[in-house]
Amino acid sequence: MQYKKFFALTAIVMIVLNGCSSQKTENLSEISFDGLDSIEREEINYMLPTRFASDGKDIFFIDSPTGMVYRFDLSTKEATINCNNPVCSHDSDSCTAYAERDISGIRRENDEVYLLGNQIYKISRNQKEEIGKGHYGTSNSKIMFGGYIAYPEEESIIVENIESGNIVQRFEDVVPYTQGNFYYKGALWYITEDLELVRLDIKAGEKRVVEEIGVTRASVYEDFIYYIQVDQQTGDNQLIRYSEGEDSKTVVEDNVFYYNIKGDTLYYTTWPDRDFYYRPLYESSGENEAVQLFKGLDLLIWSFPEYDDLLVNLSEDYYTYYILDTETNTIDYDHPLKVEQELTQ
Amino acid sequence: MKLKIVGITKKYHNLTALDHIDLELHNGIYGLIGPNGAGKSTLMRLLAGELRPTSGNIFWNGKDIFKLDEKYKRYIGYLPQTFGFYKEFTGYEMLCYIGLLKSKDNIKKIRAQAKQLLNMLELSDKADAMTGKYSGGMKQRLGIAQALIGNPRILIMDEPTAGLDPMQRIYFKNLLKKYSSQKIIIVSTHIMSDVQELADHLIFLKKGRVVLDKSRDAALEESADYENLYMRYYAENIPSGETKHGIK
Repeated sequence: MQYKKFFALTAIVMIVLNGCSSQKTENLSEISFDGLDSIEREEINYMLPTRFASDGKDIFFIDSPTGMVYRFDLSTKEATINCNNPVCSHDSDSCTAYAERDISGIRRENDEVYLLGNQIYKISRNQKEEIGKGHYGTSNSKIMFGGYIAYPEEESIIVENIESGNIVQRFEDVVPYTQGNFYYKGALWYITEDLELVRLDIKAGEKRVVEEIGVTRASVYEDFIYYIQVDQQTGDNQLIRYSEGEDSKTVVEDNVFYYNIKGDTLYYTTWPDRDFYYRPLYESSGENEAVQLFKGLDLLIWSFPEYDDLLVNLSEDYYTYYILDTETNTIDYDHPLKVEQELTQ
Repeated sequence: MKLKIVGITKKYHNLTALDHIDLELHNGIYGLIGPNGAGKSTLMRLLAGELRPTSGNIFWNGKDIFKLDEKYKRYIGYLPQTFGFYKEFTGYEMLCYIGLLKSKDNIKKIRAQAKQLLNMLELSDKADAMTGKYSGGMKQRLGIAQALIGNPRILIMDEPTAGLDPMQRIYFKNLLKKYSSQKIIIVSTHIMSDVQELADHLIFLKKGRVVLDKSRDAALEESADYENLYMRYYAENIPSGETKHGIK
């Protein structure tokens, strides 16, 4: 009698739970991720959590102090808020420049730019269109790839079909850090809060720990994974190149605090001096000495597929960005790209 | 623990920023005072291992800090006057990263300390926000947190109360006092009230030279109060027309 009661109660709970859930699980064997591997590598060479992305016409970015969306016009070197309504106060979701403060990032996907927060919006000049079902959480560690979104929920990563809202995979026990997460060849790559670098195979649902400790930043460039690893015994923070196919690791540079890669050139800063260098990516540092561009500058560096040059910003200056000419490796200080502060709130 | 500065001179081309400085620092809070150009920031950067002296030596427990190099830098918590954070890092991540570089603790311990510091400095609710979105006061508090992470033995803080509101100043001073029995703490400031409430020991710099190096009590035996003490050494630095009450 007690068993019958138990089963009846269990059945009711199951019905209620299923009824409450609007998300179904898709059959993974029916999903093809193959097409995603044809994405140009440079398009996914982003450092995270990203605030900048270009759609080929404009560079969109989230302004740090206000959290609003601006766009850069590189020809006029002007930053314009992405809203052309002269009476808009830019403080509600209906504004095309409004982004959920603290939780939004910008992503490029198939020549379109998306604003990722708890919802997903496709953005273009003075336009913003919501796509997907929403409720992707407040973490900055979201990955968008080929119509899917991966987002953290409690201590797991959920992979969801953006259009249908169906969950296609769930990885338990992964709490991501925000400085290196990307999609690469059928897998999600995350730095966890324990500073491991993990690879989550979407189809197989398997988690593999690529590096066990001390990873602070990661990205993909061409067919290699790059990451910074801190060795606490020696105090080194090395930039490592990882070949997934060969499962081999190479030290690219010994002291790298922050980096970006453009046109086979590595741009990086050091710790604790915060000097800024560049050097050829594929030649060993012994043969090709790194060139110091600046001393004692915290530079943030962004690259875009359509532009040969880099966009840089000094970390203590919120409002001014500069073009770094990658041919001459000089910064055009005379023509800064300024975000007009009166536009910000 | 002892930090000993022996005959330090620092020259920038023809300018002598520091001229034959001798100091011996033990656990406690040292107030480093002086007008602009007195050499405070140069001395702080030398103590932090960021600059090399033109001549002279600095010894940490008898060992040359420039020979200890990276090992010495792990003992240091340094808050420079301007500190840039990588604005794409969250406050919590920035602290964890710096903690990892400075400490040999495992990441779980570093994470716990980062959370504790963010809580102590009232930044818990912004721990997961990117530092680019921090206000000036929040950045200053995060700067203090990054100086404290890894439990450094020497704390070097250049104008640490700049950007803090009155309550945060009080809180910060109490925090430093709590650590003062276990660390050498050097606080550079031009705000005499900060020194009044904080420092066990006063060091006055003037034109690159030490003009006063005494315990607070011994220094105050020379003058009736801090204002008089300051005026005694720096009267000519006060712009004409300002009263002594104009001294911050």
